[in-house]
Amino acid sequence: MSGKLLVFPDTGVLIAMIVYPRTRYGALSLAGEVLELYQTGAFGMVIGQSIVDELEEVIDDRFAAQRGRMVSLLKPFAGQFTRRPTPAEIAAVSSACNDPTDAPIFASAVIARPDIVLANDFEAFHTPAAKSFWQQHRITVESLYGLLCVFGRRQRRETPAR
Amino acid sequence: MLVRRITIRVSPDLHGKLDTLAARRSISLNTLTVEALEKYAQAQAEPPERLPLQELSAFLAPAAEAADLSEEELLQHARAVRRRIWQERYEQTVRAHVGPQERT
Repeated sequence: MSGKLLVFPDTGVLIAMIVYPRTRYGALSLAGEVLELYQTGAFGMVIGQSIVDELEEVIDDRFAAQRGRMVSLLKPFAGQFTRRPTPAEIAAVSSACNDPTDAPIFASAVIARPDIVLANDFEAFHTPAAKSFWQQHRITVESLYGLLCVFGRRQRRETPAR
Repeated sequence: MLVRRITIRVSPDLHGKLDTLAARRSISLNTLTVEALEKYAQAQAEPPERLPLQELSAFLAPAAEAADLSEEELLQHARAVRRRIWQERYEQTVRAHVGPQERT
């Protein structure tokens, strides 16, 4: 592996990084620490259009007043988002997914060709079938905690931390 | 200044467009092409810009706090959105692809 690590975030971790970088007590959350690492340029990020689609809908549903601001901030980066997967590409990855609704995201990650898929949804992204799938595509899957371990901010534990 | 010569082949259409652009600025086709190549080389050499996550956070984190919306609630909603997008955009077409594979 050469150069900066390229990370593909799932929508959940992206939301956690953007909306909950601090705990309710004001301390930096795991997502906030990862956001800080990103801001310092520790790793690069590649985002799929499928992730942006979900993010926009979530914001539209829950923070409608903020949608326009978010869209205009993301607009200049539209060219960087990887394309949506085709139905055939989604069908090809469906056997690795516990829940078929995750298949478009798995397929998007494959298209993006990151070093690491960053997801805290353990039932979807960290199952043995999913891990084997990521391995086949030479992608590592990490949680927020796991990514901090990659950068020496935390120690690996025997039971994966969430 | 030391220069090197390269030869490129372009379509008559592109040639015409470049000629027009150069004429408009009263510069040679060579100067225009060098400018374009320099810009391209610079864009390729620059690292990609960082996504504006911090900027998004600056107004979305306070919005969540003001709405008293917990992380668990919002992530649960994100799962619901994923299901909705699946049903509206992908389910039928993907099943059409999975079906024939399963039958073989």
